[in-house]
Amino acid sequence: MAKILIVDDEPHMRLLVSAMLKSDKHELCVAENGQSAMDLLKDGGFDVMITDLVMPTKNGIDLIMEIKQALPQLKIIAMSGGGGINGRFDYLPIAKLIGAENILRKPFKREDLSSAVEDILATHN
Amino acid sequence: MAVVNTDILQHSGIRQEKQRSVAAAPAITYRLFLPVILLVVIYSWPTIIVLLTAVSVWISAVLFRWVSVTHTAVNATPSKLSSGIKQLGADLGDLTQSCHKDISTLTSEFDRLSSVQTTAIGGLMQSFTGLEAQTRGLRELVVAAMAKLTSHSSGDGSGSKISHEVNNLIQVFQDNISSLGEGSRQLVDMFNIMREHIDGINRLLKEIEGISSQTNLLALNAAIEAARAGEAGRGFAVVADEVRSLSTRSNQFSTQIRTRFTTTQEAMHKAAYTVGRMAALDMKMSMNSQGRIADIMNEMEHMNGDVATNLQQVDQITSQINHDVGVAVRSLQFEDMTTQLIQHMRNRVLAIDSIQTILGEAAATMVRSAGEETAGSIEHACQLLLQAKDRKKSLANNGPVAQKDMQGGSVDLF
Repeated sequence: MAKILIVDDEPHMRLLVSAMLKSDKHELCVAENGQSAMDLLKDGGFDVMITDLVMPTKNGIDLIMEIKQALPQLKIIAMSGGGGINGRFDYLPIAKLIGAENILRKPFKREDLSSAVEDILATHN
Repeated sequence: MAVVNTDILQHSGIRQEKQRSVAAAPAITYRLFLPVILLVVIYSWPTIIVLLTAVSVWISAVLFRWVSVTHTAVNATPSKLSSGIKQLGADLGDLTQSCHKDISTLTSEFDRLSSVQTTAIGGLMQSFTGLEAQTRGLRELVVAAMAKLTSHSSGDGSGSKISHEVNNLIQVFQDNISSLGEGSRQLVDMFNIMREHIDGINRLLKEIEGISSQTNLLALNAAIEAARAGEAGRGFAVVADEVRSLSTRSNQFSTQIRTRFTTTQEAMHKAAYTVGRMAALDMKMSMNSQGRIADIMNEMEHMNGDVATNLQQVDQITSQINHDVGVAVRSLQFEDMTTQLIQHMRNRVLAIDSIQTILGEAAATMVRSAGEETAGSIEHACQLLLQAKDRKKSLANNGPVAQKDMQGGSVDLF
């Protein structure tokens, strides 16, 4: 069982990801943007963060870069539908390049999310 | 004036009534004696002559009596009639004096009215003429602005030319940014591949280091075994030393490679960080501008439409103002008509004043001759009144300007 923070600006996505991970008996928290996530992460105790990339206030790329500086032990899973102007600028590979341990392209299945989390936890341990 | 006329009429009516009552007596007499006369004419003409003589004598007597009665009636109350006429004349004189003063004041006011009207209308004419010129200039400006706006419009209702050009320019920028994004994506992919390769090389280096360590250990064991063999193992000991030396050199190379790889990895991290910053910047710009561009274009289209609509309304209002000012300027030109009306009213008042003068003269005549020959003075006064009536009649026949309103047409001068 791990403590996981879910970050997404869309309420229904936060609800959906939480529902997907509920059966895996993890401890779940949610944040609506990067700034709220940083505030929660500073309290400590999180093993994994699952974050969207395209968000207002503080986007996922900035958040990942900041976490890799401040909390390098935290494992990150980036999820996105792509993004960028006209959808041709793909942020997911960038997220991986700057330090995300795993990436998930929306839409994804519950099994994909579970295995991504399990892989990260296994590597971490 | 009305009192005088009524008195005159009353006086004339009394005289006629009296005349009718005096003439009624012979008529009744004639009707009574007509059968007798006819019998006499039929039966005896000499008798007729005698009777005619008698009748003529009787008629003479009757006429004498009538004249006597009339003369007595006229002169029955000379002192009362005289004082009445004198009072009437005095009142009439006072009234005409009062009217004369009022008419004099009225004439003066007409002159002031005419002067004020001329000054005011002159100013209004100047003002409206200037306003008309300025409105015309304003309308020309509005029409020019509308023409300019129309020339910038595509004409098919899809927006202005400027808007299209801006849209095309933004599209070019978007395409360029997309191309850059595609290049960045490829770059990121290559970086990720490089990172995987670096990880692989790192693992190989560990393998090499392991092999070197193991080789070193083997060489050490070989050297121990060579020493244990004594003289026979001297040659083998030399080989073992060379193997150890090779292992040490291999380990040194591995360390140097790892050092360089660490530097490369740090550079890779920095590059990844830079790419991440660029991606974050692109994301912010994309989020802020993507929807905003469409909004700005829509706002521009709406603004152009509003400006065009407002200009059309301003053009309509300006046209209406121009028309209204034209009507005002044209209406002000009817000053001639009102001036002539005022002049005519003034002349009419002066004519009434002259009538008042005649009436005053008649009143004075009545006062002067009140104790003298009464019938003659009344007759003279009646003549003066007739003169006044004639003047009044001629006054009524003179018409002012024929027009009754400010509608178009020529001014009918009198």
